[in-house]
Amino acid sequence: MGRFFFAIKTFFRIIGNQKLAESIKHLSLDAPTPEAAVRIPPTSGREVPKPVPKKRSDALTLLEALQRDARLLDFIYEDIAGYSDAQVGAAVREIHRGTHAILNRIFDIAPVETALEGSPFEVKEQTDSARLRLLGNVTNSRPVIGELVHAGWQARQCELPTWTGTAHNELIIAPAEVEIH
Amino acid sequence: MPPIYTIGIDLGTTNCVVSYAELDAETPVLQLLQIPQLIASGTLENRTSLPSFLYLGTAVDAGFELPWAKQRDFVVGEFARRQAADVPDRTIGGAKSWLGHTAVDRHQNILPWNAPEEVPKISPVLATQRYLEHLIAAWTHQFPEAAFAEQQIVLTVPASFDASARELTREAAIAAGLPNEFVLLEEPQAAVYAWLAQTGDLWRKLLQVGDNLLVVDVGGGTTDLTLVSATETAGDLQLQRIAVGNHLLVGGDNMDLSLAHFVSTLFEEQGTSLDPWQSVSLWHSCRAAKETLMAEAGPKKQKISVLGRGRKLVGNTISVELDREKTKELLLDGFLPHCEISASVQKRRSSGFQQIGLPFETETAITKHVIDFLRRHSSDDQPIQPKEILVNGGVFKSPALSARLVEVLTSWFPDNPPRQLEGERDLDHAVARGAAYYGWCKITGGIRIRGGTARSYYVGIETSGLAIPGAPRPLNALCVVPHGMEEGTETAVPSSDIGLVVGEPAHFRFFSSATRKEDQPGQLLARWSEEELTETDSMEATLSADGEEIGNYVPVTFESKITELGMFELWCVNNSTDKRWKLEFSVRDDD
Repeated sequence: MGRFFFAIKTFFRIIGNQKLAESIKHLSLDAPTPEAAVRIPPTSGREVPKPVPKKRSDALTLLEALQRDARLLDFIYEDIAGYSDAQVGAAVREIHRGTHAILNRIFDIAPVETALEGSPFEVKEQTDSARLRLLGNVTNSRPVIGELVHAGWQARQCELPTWTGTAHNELIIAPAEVEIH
Repeated sequence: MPPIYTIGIDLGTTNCVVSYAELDAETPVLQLLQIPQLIASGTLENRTSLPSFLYLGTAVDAGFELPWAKQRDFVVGEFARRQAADVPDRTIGGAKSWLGHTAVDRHQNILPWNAPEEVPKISPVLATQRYLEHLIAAWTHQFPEAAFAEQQIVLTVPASFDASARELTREAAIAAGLPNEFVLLEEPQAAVYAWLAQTGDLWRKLLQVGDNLLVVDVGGGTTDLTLVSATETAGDLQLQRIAVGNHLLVGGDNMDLSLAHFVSTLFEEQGTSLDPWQSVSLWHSCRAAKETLMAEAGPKKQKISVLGRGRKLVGNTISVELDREKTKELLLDGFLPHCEISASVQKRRSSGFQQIGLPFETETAITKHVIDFLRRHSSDDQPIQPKEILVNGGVFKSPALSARLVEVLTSWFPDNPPRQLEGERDLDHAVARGAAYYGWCKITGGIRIRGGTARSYYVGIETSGLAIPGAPRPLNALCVVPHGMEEGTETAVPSSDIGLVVGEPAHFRFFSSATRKEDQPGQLLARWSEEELTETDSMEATLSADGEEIGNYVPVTFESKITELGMFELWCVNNSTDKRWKLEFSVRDDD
């Protein structure tokens, strides 16, 4: 509720104060693109026109890809209580490799900050709270030196496969398989 | 309309890649084309390469449609590659190796090889056409305003492809929709162009006059060797391709397979034998383990697991430990072994059984093929000594492999060891990028590798003379194209008149040689060793009867031509009437 009253209060202050209105105009502009997010596409420079999207949720298509390339559902839905850690570990190695490959292909995953975790990190004047979260003894003084405890994650693209199946099958994530001998 | 783009197509044995750049750029920006393709039934994804596999669907298969094709009963690309493991009888792979295989009729519907009766087979030429059609459609889908056939197109072929395999590639390309003016470029040369595109003008400082550059291109299924030499013309440094190697069917897939085979023996020691499905996933795990273990600071050991099939994944997972030293030994000593400078290549057994299916190399030691190549193209008894080495192909992503290659070459030439050309190169896509760069050079007048034909060509002529009952007439080989004949030139072949019968097809046996570099057109060879001349598809022409009486003899001589686009043409000319007939490769069975 605090934010609501703050917003109302601020609304009237902006209406009544020309100088204040000018000084915070930048808040309504789009945030500048941070340096690290700018990337030269390694491949085709232009957008590939996609076929007309069908109604299936992208979440299902992602789940399908994770099962197809990394057997994720097989793993999660198996009761592993009775297996030794070594046996689970052996399987995880393969699932890890498959999942890593597919997430990289679809999302091109990278850390938000390139500095090493554990190294000193300078927090500059302007920070974007979505990219940088401050912990511990947080004050308003800037710049300030802290320690990078987590480098964060970002997707540098979102290139999901396009599903072209028929509507009555949209909930199928992986077909049953029958081998003919 | 003048072309806007240069497009380079790497039509690989296992993967196809397309690169392109705008022509009017000061320095071309070589981009990779995104190729939309099915990765599973009803699931489309963009990839930068199209696996060269084709799956022939059954009547109940569905979900094959593409953005540009509604009804389809076949699939090319990643989904087809996956099907190769699950439904091998209906999947075609390695169509390109079949194109270069003269023992079969490449127009016949023979693929998938050994498939059961009910599978609708297709020819190696048609499979190739299907891959190219997909690539063209992917282009058209993204660049509707720049008609594909109006662009500058460069298509790569193995340097070891002879005139007939090139003709078949061209036939498939034209049928797929490539323009008549497209250019063929040899793959190892494309790799050099990719290097040139990257180094820019600096290459003139990196290479010296008289240097020989050895290109070792190891693809998924083939190894292609080429020598390029730096020469000087009017004070200007130039590049000339001086030799190409034979078609070697050994490549990166052999390495993964041999590692997988070794690991499966480890499983057997544990008492587990793998079924075909597990073997395929073992192959994938081994490919990944190879890259980890062969990396410079790789782990000493790596666990290889094969997941259980079905929903009992963890419970049925089996695993063994693979040792780094053992892996290195297996791959380096198996494929790039140390060998003497005098080492020779183990001969392929020529029993009848070897003719069935593809003639895979029995000698997997690439280093032995390299020294054999350097020796065979030398003018004296010392092998040619390369000053630089350029490696290409995905297997060289493991630096241990290229390091070993350099090590072995250094042991042959300790006084003047060759050095590997540096530079971070995109090994999986270099051929396509190099091809696109070549297209740009051709139009804007940039650096060109000269070289002309990599082979000399011969027509078989039966000698006249008294016939001996039961003995075939001795055959002479008439040289019609000398080694290094340049594109855009033609030559009349001096010879005595050859009599052809009007209205009947005339057949000529046809030979090529990669090593006889001194033969001139008109030279008649009475004998040659089996290694020197390789017989390829015969050539034929039917003399039309217009004006001539059927059954008459017409005296002709030959004229040969290498077109501006690198294609070989052979003509019969009647010198008194100036009438000409073109000879075509007859790739059909001769009986």
